[in-house]
Amino acid sequence: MNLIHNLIKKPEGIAGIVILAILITTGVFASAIAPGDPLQISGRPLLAPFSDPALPLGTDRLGRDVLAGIVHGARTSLLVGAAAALAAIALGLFVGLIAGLAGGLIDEALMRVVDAFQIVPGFLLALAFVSVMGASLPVVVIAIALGAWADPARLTRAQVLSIRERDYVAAAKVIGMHPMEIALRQVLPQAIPPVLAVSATIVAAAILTEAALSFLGLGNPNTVTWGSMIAEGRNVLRSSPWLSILPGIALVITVVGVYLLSEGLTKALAGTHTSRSGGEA
Amino acid sequence: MGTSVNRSLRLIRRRLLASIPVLMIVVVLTFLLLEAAPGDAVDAYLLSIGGGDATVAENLRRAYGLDQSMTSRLWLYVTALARLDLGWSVSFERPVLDMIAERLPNTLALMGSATTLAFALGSTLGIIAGSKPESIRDRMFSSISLIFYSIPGFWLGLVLSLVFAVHLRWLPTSGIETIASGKSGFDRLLDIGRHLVLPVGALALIYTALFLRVMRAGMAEAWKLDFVLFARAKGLSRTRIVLRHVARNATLPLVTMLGLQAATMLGGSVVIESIFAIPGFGRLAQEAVSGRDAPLLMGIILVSAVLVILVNLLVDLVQAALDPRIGASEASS
Amino acid sequence: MSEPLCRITNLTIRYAGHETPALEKLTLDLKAGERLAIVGESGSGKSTFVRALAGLLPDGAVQYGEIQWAANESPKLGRDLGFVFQDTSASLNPVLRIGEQVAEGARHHLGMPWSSAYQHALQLLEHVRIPNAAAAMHAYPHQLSGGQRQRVAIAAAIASRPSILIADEATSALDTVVQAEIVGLLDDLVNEHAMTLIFVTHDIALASNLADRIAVFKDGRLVEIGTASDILTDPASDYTRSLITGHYDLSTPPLVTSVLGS
Repeated sequence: MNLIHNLIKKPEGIAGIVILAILITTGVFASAIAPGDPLQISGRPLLAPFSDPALPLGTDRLGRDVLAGIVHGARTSLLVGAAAALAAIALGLFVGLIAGLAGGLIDEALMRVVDAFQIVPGFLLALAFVSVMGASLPVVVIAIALGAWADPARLTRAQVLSIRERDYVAAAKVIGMHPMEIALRQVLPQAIPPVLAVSATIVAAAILTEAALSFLGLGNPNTVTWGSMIAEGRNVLRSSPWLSILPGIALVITVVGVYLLSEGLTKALAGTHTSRSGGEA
Repeated sequence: MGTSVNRSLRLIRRRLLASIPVLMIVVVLTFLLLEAAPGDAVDAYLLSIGGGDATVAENLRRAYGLDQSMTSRLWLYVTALARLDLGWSVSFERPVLDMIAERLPNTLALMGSATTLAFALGSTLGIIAGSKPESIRDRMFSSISLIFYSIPGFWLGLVLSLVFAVHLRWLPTSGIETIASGKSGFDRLLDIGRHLVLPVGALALIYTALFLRVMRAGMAEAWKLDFVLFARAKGLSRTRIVLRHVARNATLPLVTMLGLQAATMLGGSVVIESIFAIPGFGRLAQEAVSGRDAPLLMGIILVSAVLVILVNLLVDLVQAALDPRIGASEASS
Repeated sequence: MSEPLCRITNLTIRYAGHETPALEKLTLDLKAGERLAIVGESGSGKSTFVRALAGLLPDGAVQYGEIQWAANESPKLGRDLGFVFQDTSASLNPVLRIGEQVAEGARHHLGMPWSSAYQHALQLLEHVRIPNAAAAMHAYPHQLSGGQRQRVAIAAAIASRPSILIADEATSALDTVVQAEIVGLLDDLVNEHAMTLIFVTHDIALASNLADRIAVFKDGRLVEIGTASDILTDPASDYTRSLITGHYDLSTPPLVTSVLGS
């Protein structure tokens, strides 16, 4: 509760929460705001925005409603972004925990694997994965996560290495706590916070990667995404630029919202720590 | 005190040794991906020549050792790599290595220019912002850079292209040079330069935002360090403190960031080159995907890994040059 | 009675975000050319006082009262006033060479070109008894020991030949052997250049060694101030008495013979 309280006090926190709240609501209630299939034809093709009140943002080459596309695209972007980040963080936490606790050869081997995933450009890996497995929502999520899990793994391991030297872990061992229990109840909860701090960056990167993949035609073919809308709009860029511009603006606003929330969170977290420690030593 | 040459050589050797097992893992990874791809090289070949029956396929497979077990195929793959044979590109019908060698220089030119520009601009603006942390100027720079950093590269490229190439017609929309222009020497260079302005600009804008943020964060941290207080106690001029003490120390995390971003930047070249039709390494990846050319794609991944390792090596050396404490403990006195 | 170098009246300082003032209603005079020791435990306000004198308080610190300098303008940091800190490893910039860090003050305040400033720095390093000073000029801080780094810090602080030197717990982070060397160095330097020395320490024995006058601080207030022998032989307050007796240890060689002799 203290955290939420601190978060709201900062301008970044408020701005981030507001933006994301609007976006999440839009995504969740997409069907209510713009009912029907956004892939369906709704009107005359290439209608300019603000010319028809029923189609406030105009239509694309095939006459599909742009507003519906943007609203439904919000759902995809946020869903994929959140799911991919969650998968990446979960995998990273798991691997980092094992590496940090096991030590020795297992640690070395795991870290080389993490290195390998950090060296290969995440986007290329995602590209290769989707092209091999075929484009579908779960594949896209896994593809993005494959490129993103290495950083949280490294972070977790570093945290675990410092935590396992601490007194309360030694005390738990002395009592005879099972190593698995120590791992899950003593070490893991302390290892999570720094990873959470970078989670917003991972979400933002995931959203942008999904958009890029969709732009190249490798996203989920059954839904409208902002990336695919931008790609579509390229064909008529000269005459109807808004088709590509509007979804891009939506992307920028979304990512800015995520970053603002993350900055607000970081500052709020820092605030709760210092107040807990009671001022200067 | 060890000489700096010795220190550099030690760092190079350490980085290269550590990279070998990692590279091997990447090789295994790409091999597994290749295996996962539906169909193999023979299928793709037969498709390109308009079909063939099962016996032809079987014979081909036996000839190329593609009918063996997975481990022996892995061995074949690894030995081929050792000969610098990255396989055969089915969509271009040329060796993968040739394709990559042809396209890589364009991408290096693109990324090199963008990174240099972004580094120069970003660090300068970051120093200006960080010279007075939490000032209005600092906050302004922080907000604007946040927005730019959130812009998708491909969309920015598209918008820039729309404004400067399509509407204003100041710059060409695509390609790396005017086709069949017959230009040579300096004229050709100028032509290429004109074509690179927009893609480099798009990339540079986004990376400037990132470098600005890292530099100003580094400055904010460096201000708190004790030697800054000592510098103030010596009564030095503000300029000297900002540049020679604070900024000089804030450059270290920025260089580290360069190394961390190398892989991401290489990945970003894919969409930018696609939009501006630059015949580069990144665009090759996109073409490999649309051409279902698994060997080419895997070859690209391997080469990317090697490139990132080399860049990180360079970053290691620069860091050692900037920070005398690095590698010092290993020095024999 | 000559005019005091500096007259401090009712100086009160409160740091940002803190309720209790770090220093409260401090009134004392500084005499030119004297060696004044500020003694007290941590949190007694001694560092706050000397930083206020130098103008090095952090942002947001509120200052009441008066610091009136005889020359009618406060001494310029670096040129008229040199400051040495406690933490040697943090005082020096880790990525710049020693020579540059010693020379930059002289270059800025004395208007020397870099070549002369480096010459000057070399002489200063020899003056503070750094072994192999020429090699040290090109070295980095992490290559020197703690005691050597403190010597470098002192050299850098006096590079512009200031008339006042403030040492804030300059020896507290060093081991006793090195401590004695640094104290000896300070003693010689101050004599040679006729500087006013104000040094902060929690060690009353050290103060007695080096100081003409001792000021005792406790909880942000001045407890008493007087000549070194007066304070040590006949302390006015119980607190000072406890500080002195706290140092008595049969294994400790007598530092102040007049006390034992009386």
